[in-house]
Amino acid sequence: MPLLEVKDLKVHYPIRGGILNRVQRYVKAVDGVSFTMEPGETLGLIGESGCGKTTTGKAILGLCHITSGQIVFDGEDITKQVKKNRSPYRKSVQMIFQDVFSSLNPRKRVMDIIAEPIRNFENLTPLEEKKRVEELLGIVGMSPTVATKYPFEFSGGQRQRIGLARAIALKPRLIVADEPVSALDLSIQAQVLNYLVDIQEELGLAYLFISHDLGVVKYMCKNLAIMHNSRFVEFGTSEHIYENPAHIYTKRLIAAIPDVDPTKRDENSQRRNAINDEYTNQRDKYYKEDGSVYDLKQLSEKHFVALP
Amino acid sequence: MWKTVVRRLLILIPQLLFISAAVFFMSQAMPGDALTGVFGEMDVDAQIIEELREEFGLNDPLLQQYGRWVWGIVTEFDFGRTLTQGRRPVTDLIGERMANSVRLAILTLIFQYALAIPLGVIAARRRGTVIDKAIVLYTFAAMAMPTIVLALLMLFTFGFNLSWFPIRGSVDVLLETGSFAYFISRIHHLILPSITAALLGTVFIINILRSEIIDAQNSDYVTTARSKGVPAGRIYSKHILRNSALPIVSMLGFAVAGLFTGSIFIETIFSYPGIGQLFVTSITTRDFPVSNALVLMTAFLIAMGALIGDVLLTVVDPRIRVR
Amino acid sequence: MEKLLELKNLTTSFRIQGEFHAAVDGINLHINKDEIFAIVGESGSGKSATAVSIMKLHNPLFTRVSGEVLFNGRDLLPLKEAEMNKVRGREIGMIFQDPLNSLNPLMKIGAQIEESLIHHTDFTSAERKERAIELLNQVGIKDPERTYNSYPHELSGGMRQRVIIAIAIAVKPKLLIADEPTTALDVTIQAQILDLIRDLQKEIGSSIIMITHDLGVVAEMADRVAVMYAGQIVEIAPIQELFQNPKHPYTRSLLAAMPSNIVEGEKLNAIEGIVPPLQNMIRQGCRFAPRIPWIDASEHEENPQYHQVGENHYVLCSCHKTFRLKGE
Repeated sequence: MPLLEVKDLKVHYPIRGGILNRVQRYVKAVDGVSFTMEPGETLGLIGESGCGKTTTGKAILGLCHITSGQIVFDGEDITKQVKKNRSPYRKSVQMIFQDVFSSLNPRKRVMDIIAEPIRNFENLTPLEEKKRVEELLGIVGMSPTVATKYPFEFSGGQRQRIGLARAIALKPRLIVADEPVSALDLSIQAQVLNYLVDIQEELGLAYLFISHDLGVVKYMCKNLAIMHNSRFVEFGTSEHIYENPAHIYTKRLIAAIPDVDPTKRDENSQRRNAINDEYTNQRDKYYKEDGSVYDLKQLSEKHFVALP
Repeated sequence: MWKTVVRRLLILIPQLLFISAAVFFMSQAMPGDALTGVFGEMDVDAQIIEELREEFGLNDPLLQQYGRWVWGIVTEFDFGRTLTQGRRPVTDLIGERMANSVRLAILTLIFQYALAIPLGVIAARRRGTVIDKAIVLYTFAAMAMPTIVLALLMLFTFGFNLSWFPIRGSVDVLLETGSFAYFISRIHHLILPSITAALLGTVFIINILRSEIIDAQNSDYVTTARSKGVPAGRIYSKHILRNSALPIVSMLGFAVAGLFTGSIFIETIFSYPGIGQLFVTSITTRDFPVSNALVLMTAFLIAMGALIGDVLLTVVDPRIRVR
Repeated sequence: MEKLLELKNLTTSFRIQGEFHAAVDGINLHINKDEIFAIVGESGSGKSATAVSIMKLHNPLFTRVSGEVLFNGRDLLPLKEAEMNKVRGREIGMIFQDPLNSLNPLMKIGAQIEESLIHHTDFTSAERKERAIELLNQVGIKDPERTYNSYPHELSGGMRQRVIIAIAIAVKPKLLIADEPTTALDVTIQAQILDLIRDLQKEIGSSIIMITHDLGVVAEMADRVAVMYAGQIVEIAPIQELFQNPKHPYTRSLLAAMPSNIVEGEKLNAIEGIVPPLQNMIRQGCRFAPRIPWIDASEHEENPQYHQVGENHYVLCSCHKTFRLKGE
């Protein structure tokens, strides 16, 4: 049984205006997205700013209003209760944020930050709670002595690890990670990614890994969804998408990744230009007349693409 | 944009209605009425007072009184008649005081900005120097200073001891109306109260301006301008000042409205016959038609001030495009 | 090869709680004419402070700059503001990281481009407008007339960055400093902007200093690279040499930390510890030593020197000779 099934998810935001402040039109942030995730899987959600990837994550977490569609978690339709506080679903799905500086309350000690979800859901004695926090700190590679410190005493990478400890405090089954390493330096990014992988193996977690960095996603994820204009343009395994991209948008995205081999500069540049030409001149082959994305169709067992 | 203006004006109707009700019923809840105020201490026949109450409609049910009041305002712009000052229409009474208050407000505003802009800019440009510290010290002192204390001090020093300025009234009534000397006399009467009000009111503008300029100095677009080789003077005039003025522009509407309400102490101490003074008298004499009308007027002014501030902001800031 | 810019013992110190601490600690380097030179490093390495010091854009209240910044043989550091303003924009242009905040939100695009022209040319206002539109065209903006009359918020991030580039090249400066020019942009836009910068460099024949944290961007753009760590240049090399034959432990650790350099199933190389904050930086010995504790102290120099390891390839400290990544 899949862990998470998202069926035809739509999130539309109304734009109001006029004398009576009535809804004039809608911004379609997410417009018909479907996918499934197995337990322990990492699914990468990739796209450029404004494509709807963050809104998709928020909808799953119940942080925004779902216009239509269905979210099934562990076989149970939880579309109606995603927003409910303290539901078992809320316990099973957690998130980590991009901005490590504002996502931890500066006036709380590390101890209280990590224990907060525990206090919301479980009744532990102070001693049990302390033990649990120390255990969690150990999982993310930090010494128990940091529990009494405040967030400002930590570097970006350490803060993200504290955020991770908080996210796994309730033993969730799915973590939505929204650009978790984008704000971090390369060396620190590696640290955090390694912890994410270790913890996944240890706890059997599934990650919905939202990112714009194709290098990171390729390393982290077995399956990828490429998002553009509020819909998936391509979905499949990493190999399929990197070796054999079918949609022009995917090709363009992959061609744009800077190559660390300086000898291939001209070659890359030429390929990039060719793809860009195709993208601008042959758009009608890949997009509907109004510019929207087609429905996904199956290319092979694990490879879907939005083509007519 | 006009749609937003219309919408905001429409929202104003229920807001004013609510305030009018609140004001009306709260004033009725106060002990006594205008007639207790006037006759209470004197030995007047209770019969006469009762007759007067009947005549003024003060014995009618409250809801009926309120309805009559609102109806008069809506249909004829009639706020009722004053109960103490010769039964004149409230609008007349406010109208003649209004001109005085507007004069005071305009001069105060001019002094405020004439002080705030140079002081704010100097403090920000010379941040951390002695002159900046002196300006900051002044703003703190002025914030801590109660209006009454400064007003009495000014009145005593410049009006009473030095006799540079008149100590009461709005004009020398012996002069011929409309003559040049009459005009000069008006200004002469205005200077002391308006400077007093400006000295205190300006510190908020100074503080905002100073911190906005300091923020702007460190902003990326100023760095860009500097990297183009734009000289410091032009950076201030073209980049920093205009951007720092935005919050002040949005405050301008409030500032104007605030001047009317804030001048209560000033007008009372300088015995300046303006709205503020009228407000105080009307409350002490329980002349509710007058005080209620003034509260409504203030509410309206504040709402309009906010609207004007917002409209001005859309003019200065291209990022704000209201549909 | 002719040198355009030479930094000699450049030291930039910031005031933190009343004391000055060097963020750039006595670096020496030169940039040749017609060259793209990259300075790469992580936050706290001093790379941006170097860029801003060349332009003297730091607030003098909180910053102290010493050493020499020789531009065409003339030292810029002693120049007065008025003289420096003739260099800024005219001789050296700068491209910034954040395309939204780097433009004045209340000023039309055209006016912001023309500002450089007002100060560095004798153009009439008609000529300025013509030149501004020509520049917008040159940086690949499709509708230059309309953009000329637009405000920054009406443009997309990529367009804004093109405008910033137009401003920087308005008077065809001989040196362009690009401080993380694509960090805030999406990857497809980044590719376009990098292409644009490369094309313009050939077109107007200037040198470019690229400040970046992204080794991919370096590989795509630069002719030569300096790697900075904790205020020092730890390695400086021609581009291919750096990627094929990296020497300094820091360079090697960074390359091994890149997810795209990893074979599937392997672990990323995380560098232990953190870049020390400025106030606590130990300024003796090899500054990278605390982050590679498995390397014996005797491998480092007490007073690290530059060692030549190839043509135009220099490495700081002797620890590169025996360094191996953890687990190697």
